[in-house]
Amino acid sequence: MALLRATELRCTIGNRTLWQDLDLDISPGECWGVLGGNGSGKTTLLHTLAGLLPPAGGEVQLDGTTLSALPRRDIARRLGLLLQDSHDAFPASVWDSVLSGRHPHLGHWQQETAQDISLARNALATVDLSGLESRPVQDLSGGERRRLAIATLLTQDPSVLLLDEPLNHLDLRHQQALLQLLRSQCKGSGKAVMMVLHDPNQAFRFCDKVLLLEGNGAWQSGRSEELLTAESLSKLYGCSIIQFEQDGQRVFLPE
Amino acid sequence: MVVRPLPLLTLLALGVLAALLAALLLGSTPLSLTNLWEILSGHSEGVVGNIVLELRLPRALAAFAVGGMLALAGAQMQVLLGNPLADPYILGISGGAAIGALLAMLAGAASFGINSGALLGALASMLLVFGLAHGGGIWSPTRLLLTGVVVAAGWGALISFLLVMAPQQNLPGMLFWLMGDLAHADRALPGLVILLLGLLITLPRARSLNLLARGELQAAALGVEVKPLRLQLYLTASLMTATAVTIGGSIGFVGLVVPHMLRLFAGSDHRLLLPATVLGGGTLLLVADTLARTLLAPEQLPVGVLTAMLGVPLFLYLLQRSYR
Repeated sequence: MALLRATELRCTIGNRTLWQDLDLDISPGECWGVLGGNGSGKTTLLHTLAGLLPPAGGEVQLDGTTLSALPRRDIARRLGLLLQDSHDAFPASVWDSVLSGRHPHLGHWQQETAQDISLARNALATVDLSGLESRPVQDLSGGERRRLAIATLLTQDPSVLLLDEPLNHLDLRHQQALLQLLRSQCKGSGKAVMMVLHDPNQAFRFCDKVLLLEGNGAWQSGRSEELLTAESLSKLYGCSIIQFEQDGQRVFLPE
Repeated sequence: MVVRPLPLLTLLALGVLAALLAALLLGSTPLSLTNLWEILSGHSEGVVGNIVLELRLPRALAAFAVGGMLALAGAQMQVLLGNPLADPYILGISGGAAIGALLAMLAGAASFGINSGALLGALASMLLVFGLAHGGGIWSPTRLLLTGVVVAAGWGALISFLLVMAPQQNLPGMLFWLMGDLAHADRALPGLVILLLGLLITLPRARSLNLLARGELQAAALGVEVKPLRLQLYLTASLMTATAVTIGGSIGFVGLVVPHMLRLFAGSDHRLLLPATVLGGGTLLLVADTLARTLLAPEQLPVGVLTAMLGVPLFLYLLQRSYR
């Protein structure tokens, strides 16, 4: 059964329809990539799937229940969202930030247990931030902040992970490490991942399925090897893209 | 910055006790500790006992409650508006209270009338700002902030108008009220009750405040129901501010600076920060009020002047130290 299901979803901003009649079935163990040009509604889609925005039409179901009928805390226990940007008006330590991932799992007066603490420690270790616990977030570099946000999502430990441009600010090594980590979360622990990516090469290598948003109401979804072709990508991005193929790997380059 | 909560809270609580003791001992009739003990344990009768039990103790407790409420409301407003410069008065509550109080003074009302005027003015301003900011259905912190700031500016102009038009003999009383003055704080209970209520409503939401401080979307993504939380914050902070200005006039500075001062020590976790601001704000105002009535005795200074005189150097010192 689908963990997250969208039916006849529609998004209109002003008088523009970004996508309509959008149907999605995201099942455990699946890793999805969302691709599309700037302003094609990728972020809006992720926010709608996370229940942060009411859809202009259609509905989203999490584990078979309509999202709008669920309290936010219930949603956050099962579904996590990595935002495109983080924002810090007030000082906070790395440790306080990462531990905040446990919020939906704790009651009003409840303190973090040893298990919560060890989840947070492991998450920091996974993204290579061990030892920086007492640093103020403001002192971190852009890439380190991004990894901290990812560690917070891992600490939240949801079964559906939605990630908005997770690779922003990351160096090549950490990009690869993150994509492998997300893939192992899917394959190993039966989680479902959907991430917005800008590089079709990474989508091809790491995503089972892709959703292409054209930004004019039209969209396509399906298996990566079927949808990710020079032809469809040229149309999607409105520029000419060529493809090279060797041993089942595909590489796309703008011409 | 992994802070141990217990030592910090204990230290702050000891600070409260020391300030309370000083407030009870010092004054036109200085006391020794033995005298105070006899009075408090009920073994001493007479004028001195009355001074302590009926004047100094209620005033000291009221000062603590007002300071605690202002500091707590300030911490809440800063998170609610996502703006470190916010204070309890930024949305015009003190301005509304001032109009009510000054009008009551001009009408020749006694302290009950002035207090009622202040409370009514504060509540009216709170409803006005909320109604205007809520008007279109969208309730963003920016819109609330702008509405509040503009309403506050309107109150400011009205206050100036009232001061210009007021007869000479009313002016000192009016100015004292505007600067903040605890001379008429003769009952401690209302302030303490509202402070406790505010703390009990806010403390269970402290973790949600941590998240809201990092943005509305991040908070919602981690399971916080942002709209109801904002409403609760607005209402509790406003209620505490209204109570505080009703008791002590618009005492400045405590609500802005105490939360920041404690962030420097206690870190950003509101589970520790909220109780710490209550203790810190209460202590600051208690010390300031004791100085206000003893420094130039028998002359009494408006306590609002003292909070700033104490707080400004203290805060600047802490700020310098934390950047070293």
